[in-house]
Amino acid sequence: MILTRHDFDHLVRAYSVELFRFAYWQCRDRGLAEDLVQETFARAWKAREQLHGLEAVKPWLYRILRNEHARLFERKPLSVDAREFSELPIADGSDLERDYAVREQIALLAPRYREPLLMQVLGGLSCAEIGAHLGIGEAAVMQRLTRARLALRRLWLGETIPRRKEGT
Amino acid sequence: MNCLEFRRLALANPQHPGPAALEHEAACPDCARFFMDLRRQEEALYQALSIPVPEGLADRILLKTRPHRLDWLAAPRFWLPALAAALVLALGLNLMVPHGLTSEALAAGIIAHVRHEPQALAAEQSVPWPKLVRAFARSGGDLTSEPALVSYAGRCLLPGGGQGEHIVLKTPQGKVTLILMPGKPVAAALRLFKDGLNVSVLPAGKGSLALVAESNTLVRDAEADLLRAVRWHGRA
Repeated sequence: MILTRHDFDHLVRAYSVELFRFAYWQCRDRGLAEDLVQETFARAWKAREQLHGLEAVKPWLYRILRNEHARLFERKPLSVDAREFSELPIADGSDLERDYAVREQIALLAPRYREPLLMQVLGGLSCAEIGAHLGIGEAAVMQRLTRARLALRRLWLGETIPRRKEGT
Repeated sequence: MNCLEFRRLALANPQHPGPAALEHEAACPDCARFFMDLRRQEEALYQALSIPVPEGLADRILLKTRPHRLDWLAAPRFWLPALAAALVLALGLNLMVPHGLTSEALAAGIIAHVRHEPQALAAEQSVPWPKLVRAFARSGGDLTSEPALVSYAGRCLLPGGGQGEHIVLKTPQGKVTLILMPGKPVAAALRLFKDGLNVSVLPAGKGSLALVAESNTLVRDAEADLLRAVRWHGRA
């Protein structure tokens, strides 16, 4: 199938929000996150012949975004430690203290655990889809998600986990 | 399945641990408590990750991907007057759009609405095709094919006032509630997990639509089915 301009407009409106959030939690910079999402859709439109069915559209967009992020990361390594958590934007009407704590917990997770967790929680991708993105099997994805939530859970219950370096 | 296996599956995917895990949960009070707490943690996680999105993001993306955008953007004498006109129009429209619920409140209201209408989900009606076509037409959509089997269709009162269409789609994987909400525009798509239900609110036709189901996969599949089956017109 060829994506029409009409379909594409709907895709942008349907998926730009979650892709922006995913991009933000990957780079923790709103400006960069917006650039990443804009570039993702620009590339998606140019490469629309490569889309095999609308059911594959979300994993396809995530794949493009991850590639864009990887390119960005090569140019500009980002460090969690350099970020001030107090500068993170807060959603209206939420529990600010709880959100702050959860965001700290997320930032403490190593990328190999954080990324599949973001894909599942924000994007609703299945373990198989996440595995295809990361180049690992479904069982390995489940293991990473389990470990990510266990680490979050320990923090949730007031325990501490050792701070990891990015990329470990 | 033992408790250890259940917890492993639940931690890997709290939204879809699988039928065997859910069977275990129903029979094991300890695991049921663990699961409930895990789902609360998951909801807090989603809320914390849902940071505000820059105003007009989707419009800027669409602008960027328009054909010949570079020629157009390179000539401020063309886009400056257009921008000014768009701002005036946007301000005017803003005055006309009914100031009601925020998107988040609308999504939460839809979940409560679905919870309060269990008979719609339980119904097994045979809904005539013309009735469905009319329901979508009232909301600014042309139904070109049936998105799934429909087991219920009726009018309903929407959160914050106004009437909408309450439709239940019956798929092999389970039922999904579709609420068509003409007159309730949203700026962008929004997803929310609350009270054990996933809701996705999307701009559509004369307003917006909401898809609600326990399973997030069902909601996502229904989004794709609707995209194929309906051609939406712009806001009325």
